[in-house]
Amino acid sequence: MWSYVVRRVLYNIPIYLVIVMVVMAMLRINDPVSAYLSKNATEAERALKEAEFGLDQPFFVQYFQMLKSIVTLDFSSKSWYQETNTVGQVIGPSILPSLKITLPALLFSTLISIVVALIAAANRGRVIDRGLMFIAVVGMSVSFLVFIILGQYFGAFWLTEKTGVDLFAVRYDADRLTGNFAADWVKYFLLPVMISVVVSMGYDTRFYRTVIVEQTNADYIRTAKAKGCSQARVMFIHLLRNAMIPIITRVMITMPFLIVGSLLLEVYFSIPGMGATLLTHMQNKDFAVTQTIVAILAAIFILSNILTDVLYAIVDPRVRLS
Amino acid sequence: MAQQPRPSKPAAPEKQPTDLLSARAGAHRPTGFFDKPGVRKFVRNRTGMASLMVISLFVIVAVAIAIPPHLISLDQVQSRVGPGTQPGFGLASDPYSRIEVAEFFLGEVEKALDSSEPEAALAELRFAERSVKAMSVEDVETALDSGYEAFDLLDEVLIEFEDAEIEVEELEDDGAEAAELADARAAVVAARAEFDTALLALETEVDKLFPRPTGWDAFVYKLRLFAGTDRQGRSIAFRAIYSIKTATQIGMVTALFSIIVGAVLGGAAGFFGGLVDHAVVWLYSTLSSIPYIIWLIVIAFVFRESDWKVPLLGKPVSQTLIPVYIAFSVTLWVGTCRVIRGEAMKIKSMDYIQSAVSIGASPFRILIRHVLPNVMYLLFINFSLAFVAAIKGEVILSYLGLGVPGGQPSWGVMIRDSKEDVVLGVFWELGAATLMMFILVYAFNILSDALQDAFDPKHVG
Repeated sequence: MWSYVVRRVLYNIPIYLVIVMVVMAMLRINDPVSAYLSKNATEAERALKEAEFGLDQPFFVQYFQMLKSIVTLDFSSKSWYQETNTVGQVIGPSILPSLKITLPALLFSTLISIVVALIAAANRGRVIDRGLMFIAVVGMSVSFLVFIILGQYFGAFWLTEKTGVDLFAVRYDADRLTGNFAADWVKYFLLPVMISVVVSMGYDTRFYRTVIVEQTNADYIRTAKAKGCSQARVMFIHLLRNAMIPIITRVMITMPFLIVGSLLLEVYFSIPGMGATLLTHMQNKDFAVTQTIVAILAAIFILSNILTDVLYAIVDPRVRLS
Repeated sequence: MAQQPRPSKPAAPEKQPTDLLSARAGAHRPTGFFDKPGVRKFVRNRTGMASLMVISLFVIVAVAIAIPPHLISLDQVQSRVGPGTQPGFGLASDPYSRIEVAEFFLGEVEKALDSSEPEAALAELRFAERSVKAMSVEDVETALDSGYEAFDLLDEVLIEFEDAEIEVEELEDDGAEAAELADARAAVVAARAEFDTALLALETEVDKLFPRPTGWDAFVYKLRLFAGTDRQGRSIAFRAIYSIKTATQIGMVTALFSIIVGAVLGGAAGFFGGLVDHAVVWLYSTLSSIPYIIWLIVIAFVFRESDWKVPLLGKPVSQTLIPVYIAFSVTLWVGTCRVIRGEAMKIKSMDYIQSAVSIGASPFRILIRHVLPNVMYLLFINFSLAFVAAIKGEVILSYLGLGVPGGQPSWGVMIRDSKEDVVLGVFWELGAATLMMFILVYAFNILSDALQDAFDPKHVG
């Protein structure tokens, strides 16, 4: 088992090294300093800025410095946009708000989708199944942004105006936090999480249903039924366990989508998460923060890849041997 | 492809086979494209065929907009057709919005008259099919004055009508006598009739300045206002239709690129294995380790300040769709590549491939004749998946300001612009863009399901 984990980690290290190199090279295609400074900046000012960030050094020196700062988690270079802060001070506080959206969204969408898929698969071909799958396809065909716009309008605005239930805030407001973690989360994060869950459910439900229907035809299900297991026991104990591999793959595939989704939600609800921070700093030509956030996101991504592989191995012992 | 009618071959059964071999071939081998079991199954699938037709229609419209006698030109979708934020779907006949339209036209004429060169300004004043009637500036001034007179009259009548209505409400609340109430109601009806005449009079005055289009133009004009206008008074219906071109353009380029690259690299990786396989797998794991949104932000960061002019187009790269194409292409081919690689590995060990190798077929021939037809349906499915991903991605990018650059409408741009209207309870623009996009994406989703049903024997429905 451990040798498998080590192998996966070793396999992913060169991939990460190349990603960082590609990202750094791409960001340097168009001179970041002249983009940042105004057009009439003198040569001396440019040189000063370059020297400050080490951009005057050879690419590989910069590359190794970047890798060093990632490995040692030392992000002490100055941000270009918020000049009083270091890159670490800009990025650090943005991690928690992002996690407050992505983790619950991932958890809820997976759980709810599996339950709905089980209901559909158990009623395969009947009206319930067809109705649920129709709704799923309709949901898949509407843009994420439309869900967000309508979700915000009806959840935060319409609900408060028409019924007087002030459950969700229209946008995040750091000054109005009550300090009560749960209450704040419900007020500012639950609506984005709900929108995210609704959007991913269309895809997830259809996928899980297919997986479950495929498993339903397997011999072991017939055996379980023959020995007199209840429908619920067959569904949840026998079937779900064997459907775990495709489900884990699916959760893994949803990860990039979640990052995209949380970025949109963060921007729309003014939540100061990593995606929104990246976008603001990119728009303000903050080279230092852009480069670091992309590198960190790629690292998170690769770590989740490794985690998926390890989960595979735990669920299915055959994986370890191949 | 499949929307053509099945070729009929009535002569086939009667024809006497000349030798045993061709008789056998006639009996067993599928003779044409439409005789293959998968294709037959697909053609029989009604929803699948319907979605294919819808997609074809969208593509035809997109081509009609893109090629020279443009169905809708970029100028047309960028010019104003009337006052901003007008409702659509027949709700424009609401009296208040009719007043607003009349007021808008009068106001525009007044603005033109106040300008330093009234004649030139009047000649330029044009809202789609409606323009100021050719007459002298003095005539326009008189017409405008009588227009404003009609407007003032209407204002008085409107106040009367509203007062009458308020009175009825008050009487109802007080529980007044039936006779009194009936009188008040009659007054409302009379005021309403007077109001309608005044409104018509005003519109006649406006029509004198801006003659209503007739014939075909009238139809086009109605069509323009069908879904209302956006904040800048541009036609929502035409913008939504023009966006078909934008969406098809992005979808076609990125989907074609991703299935071609995915098929070539995936096929090579699966078929040759070894070092090639390692290289391809490594390449796509690297690329797909960054979500496309991050790629796009990085690419936008790179191209934003770039002055590099694209050859042929003569525009700076930040003003074209090229960053969008790159961002989608970089990530979308990975899905196709994974699937084709797996399929190629499986097909490689099939008997018919072994047979082809043993009779000395070249690897190229094997790929084209034996492997490609067997993965063709996968390419179609992945094409529609990539197309959908590109269209939906465009909306997200346009919202973030990284998508379709200035001027050209797209569903994403429309949805982004409609954001502020939604707060006011105005859903026209959002609705039109969402509906058009929904139809296309839904059709693609149904199509890929139908393809899967028809060609993948292991697929469970």
